[in-house]
Amino acid sequence: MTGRLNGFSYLSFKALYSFHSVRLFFFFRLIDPMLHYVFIAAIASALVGSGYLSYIIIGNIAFYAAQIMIINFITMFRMERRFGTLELNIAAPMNTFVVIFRKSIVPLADGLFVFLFGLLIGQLLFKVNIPWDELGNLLLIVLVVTFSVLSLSLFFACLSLLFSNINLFLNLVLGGLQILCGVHFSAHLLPAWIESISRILPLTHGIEALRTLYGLEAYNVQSLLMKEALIGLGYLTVAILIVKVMEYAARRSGALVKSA
Amino acid sequence: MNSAELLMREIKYFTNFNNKMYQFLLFFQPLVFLTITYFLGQMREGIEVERFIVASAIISMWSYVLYSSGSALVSQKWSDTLKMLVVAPVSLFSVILSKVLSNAVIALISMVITFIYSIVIFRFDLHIPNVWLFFGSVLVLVFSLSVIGLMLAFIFSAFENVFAFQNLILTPLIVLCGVFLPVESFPLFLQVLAYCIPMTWGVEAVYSSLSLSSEVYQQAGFSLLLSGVYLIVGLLFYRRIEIALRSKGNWGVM
Repeated sequence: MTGRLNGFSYLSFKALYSFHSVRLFFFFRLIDPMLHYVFIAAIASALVGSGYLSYIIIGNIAFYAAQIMIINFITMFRMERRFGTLELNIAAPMNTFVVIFRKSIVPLADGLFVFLFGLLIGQLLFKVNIPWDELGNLLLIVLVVTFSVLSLSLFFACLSLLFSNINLFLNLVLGGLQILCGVHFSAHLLPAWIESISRILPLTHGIEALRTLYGLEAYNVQSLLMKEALIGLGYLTVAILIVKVMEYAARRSGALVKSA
Repeated sequence: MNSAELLMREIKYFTNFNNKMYQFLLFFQPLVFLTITYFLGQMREGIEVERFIVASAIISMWSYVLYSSGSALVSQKWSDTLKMLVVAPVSLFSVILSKVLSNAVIALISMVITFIYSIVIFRFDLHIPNVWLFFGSVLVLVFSLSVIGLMLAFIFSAFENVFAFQNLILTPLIVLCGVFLPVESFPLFLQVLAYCIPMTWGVEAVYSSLSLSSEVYQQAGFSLLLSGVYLIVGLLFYRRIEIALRSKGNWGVM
């Protein structure tokens, strides 16, 4: 079983990552996030001053990891659709969720790596010091945020199947998350009705928890983590329902997605 | 077909809502950056609003030029029109130059859209003290973006998988060209590098026109001069591509 799981995930890795050389991995997972943080740091320093740098960098570390996972998931579904293997997953004599779970391992590990590496870059490049005495809580936050973002990614990946052109959808999702989840500024600054939307999105509470642990905000970390986990669970449930409905509809109509 | 007609056709094609790739860059990206600017601006009073609206516009303009002009030459191979261009009675350089110029003009539309959003949606008090001076400096910037586009089209056609690295080019150049932080605040070697890019002078000229600084003419002059040098180098590069395509039938990834 473990061997099959590993093999399945490895094949998924080879299919999903066209850049499986060390050199390209270095570019896309180490250099690219670093450039993103430098870009954001330049905006923050110019607009609100360097005193605000830690605040905005922490938000962007979480966002960048989320971005990687969302792109990975949507790309995975897009490729499955393009090469006609999405239907095979439905028709396979195996639970669809087991298939999705196995394919999720690589994007999950990727997102986790980028998240943890981002925290290290934050410390080395921007002096956003990791609270080593709270390392356990920090890792817990990273895991909970990764789980909730993974659920959101699955949800968006399912939704993306409804669109013939995914690029615009993906960009809108990423742009929207930057604004709604308090990545660059506190979600409290948003108008009340928009903030109520941001409160039902993953990442918002997770970023607040991270900032609290770094001493940049003062909230109850436990309560924030609980909310983040519950929201993640909610999105996972909705994503599972969507997959079930689509699976049912596909079996009945013989067509799964809008043709690309 | 004359140049104006070609430009109109390009504008119609790229701003068409059926062309989904560029919808985000032209219409939605300015909204995202302006929203971030708006809320970040609430964190500190007395920020120079005009400068950051223009900065948001430059990001959108640069993104558009990178994604559109970068593929100006390679896309001819994808659509199987490269061979027609090679045997056409105009040089490859002229064809690509017209494309990158039209892309830069379309990028100007994203600046206009950014201004409209900033006034209508965000109610920013956008005050441009000398509109003609500002417009002139923006045209200088647009020209510098065109020659950068010309170089990008060459680079994208010369090397494999450059498209995968687009994001690695996008943000560093915005930072390096002083869109947010002044180039003088960078280490010396980065300053030298930045001032070798015509966009840097163009960006400085645009900001100087906002503050009515007398340096605007000098900066615009340097930008035009440097753009001219890039244009000549581009002409030589494209001649080389043409010769290679005619004699060997291939060039770079084409």
